This record gives sequence, structure tokens and C-alpha cells, in this order.
Amino acid sequence: MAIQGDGVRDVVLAALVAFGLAANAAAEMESMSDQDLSGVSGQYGGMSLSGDVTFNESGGPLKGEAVGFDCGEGERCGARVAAQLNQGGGWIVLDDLQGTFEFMGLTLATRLITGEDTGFGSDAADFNREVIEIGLPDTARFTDFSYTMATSSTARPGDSDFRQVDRLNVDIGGDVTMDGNALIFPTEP
Amino acid sequence: MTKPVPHRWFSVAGVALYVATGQVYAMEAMDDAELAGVQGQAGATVEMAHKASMDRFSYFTNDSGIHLEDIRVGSASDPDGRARRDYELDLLSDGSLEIGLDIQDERVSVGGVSLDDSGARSMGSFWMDRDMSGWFRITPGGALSEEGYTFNSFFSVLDSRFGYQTNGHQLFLDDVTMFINASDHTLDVQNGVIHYVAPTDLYLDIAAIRYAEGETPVRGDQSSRPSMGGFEIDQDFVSEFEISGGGGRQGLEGIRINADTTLNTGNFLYKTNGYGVEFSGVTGSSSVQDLRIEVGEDFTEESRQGLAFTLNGDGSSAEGNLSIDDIRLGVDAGTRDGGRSVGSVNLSWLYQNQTINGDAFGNQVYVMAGGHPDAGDEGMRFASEWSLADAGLTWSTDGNSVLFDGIQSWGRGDVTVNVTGNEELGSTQFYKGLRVGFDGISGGYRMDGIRVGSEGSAEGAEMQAGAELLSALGVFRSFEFGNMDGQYTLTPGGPNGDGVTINSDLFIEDGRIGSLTEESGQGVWADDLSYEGHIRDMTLDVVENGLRVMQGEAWSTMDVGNLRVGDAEDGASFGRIVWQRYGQDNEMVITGPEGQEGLRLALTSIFIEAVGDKRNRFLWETGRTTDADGNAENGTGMQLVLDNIHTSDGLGSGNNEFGVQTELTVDIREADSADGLQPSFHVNTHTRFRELNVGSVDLVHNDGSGNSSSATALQGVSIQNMDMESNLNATPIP
Repeated sequence: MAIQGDGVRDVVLAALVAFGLAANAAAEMESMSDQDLSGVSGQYGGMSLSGDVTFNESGGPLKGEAVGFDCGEGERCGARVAAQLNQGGGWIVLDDLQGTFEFMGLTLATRLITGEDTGFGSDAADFNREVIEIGLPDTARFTDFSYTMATSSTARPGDSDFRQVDRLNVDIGGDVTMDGNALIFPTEP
Repeated sequence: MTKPVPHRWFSVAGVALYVATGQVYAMEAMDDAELAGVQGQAGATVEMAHKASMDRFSYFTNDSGIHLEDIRVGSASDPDGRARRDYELDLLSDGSLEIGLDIQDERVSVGGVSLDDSGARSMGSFWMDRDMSGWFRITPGGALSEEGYTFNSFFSVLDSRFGYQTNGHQLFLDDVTMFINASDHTLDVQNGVIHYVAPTDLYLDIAAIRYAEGETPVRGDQSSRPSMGGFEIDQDFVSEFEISGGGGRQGLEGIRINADTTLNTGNFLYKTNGYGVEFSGVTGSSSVQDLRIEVGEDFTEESRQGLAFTLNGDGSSAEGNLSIDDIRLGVDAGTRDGGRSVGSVNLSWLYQNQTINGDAFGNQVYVMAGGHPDAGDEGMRFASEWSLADAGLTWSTDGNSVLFDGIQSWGRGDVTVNVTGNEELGSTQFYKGLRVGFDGISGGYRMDGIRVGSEGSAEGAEMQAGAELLSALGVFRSFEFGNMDGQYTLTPGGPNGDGVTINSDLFIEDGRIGSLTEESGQGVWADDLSYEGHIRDMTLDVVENGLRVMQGEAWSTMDVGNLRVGDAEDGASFGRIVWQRYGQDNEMVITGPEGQEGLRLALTSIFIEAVGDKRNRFLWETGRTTDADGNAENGTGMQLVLDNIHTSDGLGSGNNEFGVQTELTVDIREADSADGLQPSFHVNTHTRFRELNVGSVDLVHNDGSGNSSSATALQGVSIQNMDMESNLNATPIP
């Protein structure tokens, strides 16, 4: 995976955001040979997806309601995800999520993993079944993509006794060139 | 009437009907002046005030009969009155007989329809009220020989009513207007086969569809009753029929029909409250080969008797195509101006015998007396089997097309029809309106995939996935089910006057949804699926620029026993997924995007906080123990549970009206892809919500012996101020 452009702070987090789909399952990446790629052509089950995902381009539905999402200078404008780990405890927060992620040529298909596939040691022959294959997009671009990791006393910024400590601010911009696949393996019989 | 000679065709028997009814009529002589005024050589006027009844009319094939009972003809407005019919007969110079016809205030009713084995059951009663006038001309000489006939006629039917009643509940088409222009219909008989060619112009306006209680068909003005809305249809078509005796499928007696129809032009409008859904520029053709009609025993083990329409012989097929130039939503129902365009649609189909998963399917319907057994003795039951061997649906927007290709569908089971009231009978809750029930239906559909191209070129484009992007709308690459029971009841009346109110219950067992499916049979499968869904007080009406659906209350559970990859039967599994939904006041407006063609849906989903078992809950279970057959046993593994998911308007207001608002736009357009600019299936999704909460995220451990322990992983999750927009363009993998 090669990274180009400026403002790239955290590659790992970017990949996680881009491929959140894969997070719930055992995912493994391997490079596709030209031969593999030519084998994909003609499958009619799969598709190639291009497009973009944008978060809170012009604020959100709570913008301007004086509950902490007011889009002013230094203020929160993006989406907020808060999770409470312990009863009565504080909240871990992914805050002020904003920006655009564009991608070109993300593929989605199923693929049979057999003993002929390299890169899995002897596991491939034992597995000998289909997996979901996400072909990473050739190019991806982040535009003004940013979020904040924080801890907070309350779920909502508008709640009484709201206090928050920002732990990490992430701001991503620029092009990303990717190569390879994410394979999602089912683990039940 | 006594039992007629068996294996006489309906058409012959129908002519006999009027002769046999013993009408009360008055005949008056024409005076010389009137006679002189008659063009041609001869003329006569017949004026009749009539009232008639017949106890029973039967049609038999192979000694099995269908019986129309209590047939009456009389006045539509006055239960004791007589209808009026005036005939004028002229003999024209070319030998044609012209009959002028004027029928006023006539009601024709059939009290019940039953079969030999129906017992107390009946299909229900039917009636027709009409004012009808026009003329009918018979000229010697048909299309094939001088022995045939040519017919020309024009009829107008005004202020008519068609009704259906079961068990004291009736549904009727109100204020029906119809104009029929038949030009040069020809009738010939050759080698025992009737050849009938019927070029016809038809205009039909059904102003309203209404509901009433009572066993006696309604009379007089009913406009104060709510309506489902109305339909307006105009068509110019030519139908050609070949009708012969020669036997059904179960014996020597029965009717055989081949029929070809060409629809030259057609327009269709469904309207409520001044707004309509319009299909304009409809053309197409249809060909039916070897359809047979008889009274016979159905295809089930019970061998139930029914009026059989079978299209399942070796040479049987029904194929055709239909093209709709423009589908517009929310037009002005009067002027047909305005509205938004969804684009154009082209359908092609071939119904014929096929074998699916080793099981042979054909096309056949057996119409029986008695609907849902708890609703009463009156109703209809359609024991059905269908087999759509190949179909395609092309949808075009602004010059680009998507072809949903290689569609197959198959299944069998019973569909019941009753008109019901708001009542609990037996153990069944009924709702007011027309009830369509599903009783033990198994079946499914699948498609090869989609092809995307510029208009006219989609057929040659590469096959790809993409229908998966419409999963949220219930469109899947494949869906099959082992059993489906349930009902939809449609009641006249919407939120603003005309419209339809729907109550529904649906139960699906042994289901399977496929996506990313390959020709080889591999794919991603939601297998071992069961579904239970309930909808209460959902309304449907046409509004400015769109079609609006509002749910009163809806709750459902979808339980996917195994989410498999690979083979549908035994591919490896991601485990079990259960998705429970509960919402109130959900809304969907279907429209077209402004200024372009396409489909645009505005959805509002209110996720309600848990009330008893009704809740929004997501469960993922893995590591289940297996039974002796190797099947995973639900509730024995480790479960991740997102419980009590609900929306809120935010900041403790307690209000929950905003919900999750999604605008979904689908069209076909040229878009950038990994292979450069190319036609793509485009889905734009814009989702907004103020607050979406997860009550708790729990990990539940089951030890396999019925004991379970639960640990809360997250005490709560709150997502706020979300505004997410995505554009996805699906193209073939390069």
C-alpha cells in the first residue's frame, strides 16, 4: 500500500474507516497476480464499485440547535459516536466526524480458496472453500476528512455537566494508492 | 335450469342463457311512418321492461360441474323494479343486421358459484349494474370464408357498478364508464376451430372502489363511502383467438385456447385525490399457446375440484413483451401534466414448464369455492402453480439502461380471496376490506444479474452484480422459500380521502436470499431464513409528484440461520443473524428526481423504544452446537446482541419524530470507474438522523444445556448529528 499526498496522519485508521466492513471478520490481504485478475473477468456475480462517501458536509440535523453542534470556528460540526463501557462511567467518543472519501474500482465478489492459492501456508488446502473478496480500490482520495477521538463525561455535548478531553485529532487529505484484496473468511461449518 | 348437454362451450351456453330466463317483456309494433324512416328494407323496435331469475346454470366437463346459482336480472335502483331494454333492428342494404341497443337501470347478479364438491361453500356473489347503449352490426362473410361473420359495434357503459360479496361484506367498483369500439371483428369456424379476430378500442374509467357491509348489494348513491382511488385505462389492441373443444387435460371435454394479442397503444392511470401514477405509451404483444379450461381435480394430493385453467402441456406457453414509454408519479389526474418521471420500462416474459431443483413446475390455476376457512363459507381459493422460465426487465433513465436479466420464478400453493370485516372469527383476526391470503405457498425467484449500457445496448453489455444495492428495498438477486403464509387486506380510504389502507401479516419459513451469485452456484447466502412481519394501518395514496406510503405500526423478525459463502446448501457460515424491527409512523415517498429520470425514495424510519417483545434488536450468534444431522442449533452459541436500538430527536426531549431519514436515488448514468467513463448502475444514499441509540451491547454465552449468562460489553451507544451521503456506481469487474 503506497501513500501519496499531504496531511496523511494515520494510515491504519484510514484503512479501518475505509474497510469497516471487514472489521467484524477475520480478514487477510494478499496481492492478486495477473493470472488471478484475469480469472475474475467474466464472473457475473461480482461488481466493481466507484463512488464516494461524505459525512456532514454542511453540518448535520442538529446544527444550530444549541446542543453542541454549531459549526462555528473551533466548534463541532460533524457526527458523534459515543459508547459507555461501564455503568455510570464515562464515554469513549469518536467525535466531529466529517469529510469525504472517494474511491475508484473497489470490487466485491466471492472467491474459492484452494491449495493452489499461495500465501496461506498449508491452510488454503485445508480450507478449500469460498470467501468474500473485497478488491481494494486502485485509487482513493480523502478530502477534508477529519475526526477526533475523545473521552467524555456524557453521551451528548448538550447534556448537563458535559466535560470532554480530546485525545487524538485526525485530519486526512490526499490520494491513496492501494493494491490487493481483503478476504473475509467464514469460520463456522 | 336443468343440466345442459355436457361439453357445450361457454359461448354457446351463454346465448342460451337469455333465451332460457323466461323474460317478462312488452313488444310494440312499429307504425308505417317509423318503418319508412328505417334505413334499408326492414326495421323493428323492441322495448322490454324485464325482470328474470334462474335458479342454477351449470357447465360440465367430464361429468364435473361448476354451478352459477340464483341468477337474477332486474332493476339496479329498485329491488322490486324492472330494467328497461330497447332494441332497434335494421336490415341494411348489404345484408347486414344492425341492432341498436339501450339498456337502462339493469342489475345482473349471480348469488353464488360452486363446484360439485363445494358442499356449503361458495365463491361468493357477483353483480353488475349498468346503463348501456350502442349498436351492433352483423355482416355475412368472415376473414376466412363467406360462411363467417364480421361484427362492428360501439357501446358506451355509463354509471355502472361491479360488485363482489362474501359473508356479508362487499367491495365494488363504483361509477364505471366504458367505451368499446369494435371494428371488423371476424368470426369463422374452420375444421372445428373457432377463429375470432377482435381489433378493439377500449376506454375504461373506474372512478372509485368502495366497501360496504351487508349481504344485499348496495343501491343508489354510495359516494360518501371511502374509495381506494380510481383507474383510467385506454387501449387499442387486436386479439386473435383460436378456440376449440377437443378436450381438457383430464378428459375428452374442455376448451382449448390459443390467443395472440398486439397492444398498439395503451395508457394507464391510478389516481387518488386528483393526483395520479401514469403509465403512458404502453405497447406490447402476447401469445398464449394451448391454454385449456375445464372443471377438474387440482395437482395436490387432496385432488380438490376446481375450474381449471392449465397451461402446463408440452406445447403450452405464454410469452410476450410490454414496453412503457414513461412512468410518471404524482401527475395531475385530470390534465396528466406535471409529476416526476421514473423513466421507461420494457418487460419480456416466457411462462412455460421448467424444472427447478429437481422439481417440475408448470402454469395452472384451479379456482375453488371457499376462501379462508375462518372467514365463512363464501370466498375464492386459487390453487396455483407458476413457472416463469425466462424474463427480462429493462429500465431506462435519460438514455441509459439497466437490464435485470435471466429472471426465473416458480412456486405453488393456495391464494385465498375474501371480502372481510373488522372481526375475530375462529382464531383469525380479520380486517375490513379485500383480503388476499397466502396458504402454504412455496416458491422463489432468481436472476442471473444485471447488464448496464446506453439505451438499446444493455442487452449486449457484460453481466455483473448490482441488484444487491437495492437490498434495502427488498430486491434481491435470488429469493426462495419453503413455505409462506399470511395475508394482505386492502381497505378503501387513505390519510387524505382516497387511498388504500393495508393490514398485513406474513410468515416465511425455510427461506434463502442470495447475493453476488455466480453461474457456478456459489455466492453469499442468507440461508435457513425465517421471517415474521406485521403491518397495521399502512396507507398508500398518490400525492403531488409521488406515491406515498405511511405505516401506522410495523414489527418484524428476520432470522438468518446461516450467512453462508460459497455453496448455498453447505457453504461455510458466518453464523446466525437475527434482525428484529419495530417502528411506528414510518413513511416512504416514491418519486422521481427533479429534472431528470430515475427513482427517488424518501424514507423516514422511526425506531421505537422496546415495548415488550416488540423492539429493534440485532443479534449475531457463532459457535453453536450441532444436532445429530449436523445442523447448528440456535441459542447454543455465543451471541453479540445490540438491544433496544431506537431513535430520538435528541437532548432528552422525549420526542421521536425525526427518525432516520434516508433519501435514495437510483438511476443509470455514465460515471467514472476503474475502466474509465462507462454506463453504471448508480445509487445515491443520503441518510440523516438526530440521534440513534443502542440501549446496550451484550455478550451472551450459552453453555449448550439451556443455561446462559450475559455480560454487558457496552452500557450504551449514542450516535448523534449524522448526515451521511454516498454515491455508488456499479460496473462490471474489469
